Amino acid sequence: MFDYQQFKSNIAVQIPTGERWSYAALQECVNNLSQFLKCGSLLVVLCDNTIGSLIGYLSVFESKSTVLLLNRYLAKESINNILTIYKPEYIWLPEEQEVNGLELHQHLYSAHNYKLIQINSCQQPLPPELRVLLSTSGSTGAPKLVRISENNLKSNATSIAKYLKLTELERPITSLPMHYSFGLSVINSHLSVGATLLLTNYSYVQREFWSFASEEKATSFSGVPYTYEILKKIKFWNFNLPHLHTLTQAGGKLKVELIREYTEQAALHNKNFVVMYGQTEATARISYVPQEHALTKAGSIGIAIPDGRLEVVDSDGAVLPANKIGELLYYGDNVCWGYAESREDLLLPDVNHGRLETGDMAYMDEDGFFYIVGRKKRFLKIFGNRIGLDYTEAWLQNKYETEFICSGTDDLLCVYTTSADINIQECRQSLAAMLNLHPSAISVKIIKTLPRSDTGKILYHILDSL
Amino acid sequence: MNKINQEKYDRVFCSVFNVQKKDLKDMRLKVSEQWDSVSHILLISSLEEEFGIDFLSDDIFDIKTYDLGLQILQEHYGIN
Repeated sequence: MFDYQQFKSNIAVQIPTGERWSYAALQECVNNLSQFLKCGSLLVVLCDNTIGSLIGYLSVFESKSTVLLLNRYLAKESINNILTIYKPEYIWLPEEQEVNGLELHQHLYSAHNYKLIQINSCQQPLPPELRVLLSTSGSTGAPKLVRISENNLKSNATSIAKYLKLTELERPITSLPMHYSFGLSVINSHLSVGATLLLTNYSYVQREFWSFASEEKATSFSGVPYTYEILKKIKFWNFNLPHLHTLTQAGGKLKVELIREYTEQAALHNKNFVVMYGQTEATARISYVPQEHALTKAGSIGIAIPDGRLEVVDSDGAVLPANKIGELLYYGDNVCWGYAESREDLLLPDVNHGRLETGDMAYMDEDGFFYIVGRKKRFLKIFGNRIGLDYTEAWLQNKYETEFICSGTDDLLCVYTTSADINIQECRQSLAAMLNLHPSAISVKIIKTLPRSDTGKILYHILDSL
Repeated sequence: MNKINQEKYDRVFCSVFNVQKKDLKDMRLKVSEQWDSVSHILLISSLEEEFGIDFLSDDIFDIKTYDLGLQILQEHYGIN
């Protein structure tokens, strides 16, 4: 997947302390870890944007094992739940981090402030091409996983490098976590061309992040819609970052006014603002808006990435002509193998065969640009993370033993109940804690009756206008 | 800072982070669990709205603790 030898003297990783690793040095670190991993085993990495975490991720390419990337700050119960379901052979986690019961297991190796622990004995080997497992919701650590092969990763990294015209001179700053498919795609696409990752745990609301970007001449930055709301607040355009030439946006729909504003400001500052669309199920990227169309096609998700294809189909699967709304389908080598909900599911083969039903409703204009109008499946994107509405409803109904309905828009989850006994504040807080969200992204309302159609279906469009 | 402004300031902190007044002094940006990037921007927007001001980028980065926020409001924005 990564050709360390071809770029051996290039710097692969630079961190804020000034430490750096060439591709040759990185390869050595990766090999030191991978020799402990059995082919076909499962490794869990508790991630942040540090060198230890990155080496953990990269090690499975050498050992031909599979890695499950999790946010190291997930609630302990969520981590334990996932460990119980997937029974990984190994876990690679920060030295100072504790996970219940780990002290009873064999400590195999330590490096870069991370430790490797064997927590289960070896089981039936997983398919040797199965490389990465990502949670369908990075923030809640939902136990449902997306199965991604090495070929999926390779294909997506190549397409991204092609349409963003990446070269070994690129120096992207890591503004997104690596357990999130978008953040991971930044790492993969850049390491595949011999570029230098500016790896940091600082956030863009911290001065240290921008000093690092400036001193190390960062060339690109990536964000979700919420990131760009924040950049506006911190008056990003006043910063002096002459080397930064590309800002990419994905992870949900950014308001059209903001797309226009960023595109225009970017042009004034000799930078590009690139709107993209994707899903974890497609490894990361599905489409992008080519720079020359950024203004005229603002609000569009653009065209398929190189070597991918998009079409809009009706409910019978027939391809629709321009301007007709239907479900968006994507075809490409980056379409994942499928989902997993148990250890046994990890043994399954590719069930998608390069075809993905995105669950998004869309149309194509006369010029072949695609526009998303809504979702077929019920989920919201809040601060870039997917929140399943059916899952949230079920959780609330189970906790409070009364009827709940969830709806809303991106960045605002609306919860409705007919039970007058619910303590709105408490409900909001517990839900925020469960979803790992700020309570301001959640509204809870008590209503008299739930609007239903004659057949008993909830009328969500009426709820939203209440 | 006068009592009214002090109370406004505390109220914004308590509601953004959902903590008690006694815990405010210990809070640190990116260290305290409740004070992440999302709640930081919410804090900044709420303070701007409450005091009718518009923070400079530098001040947005420097409000990293409860005390630093107080100091910046007084020294840079004349909120007394």
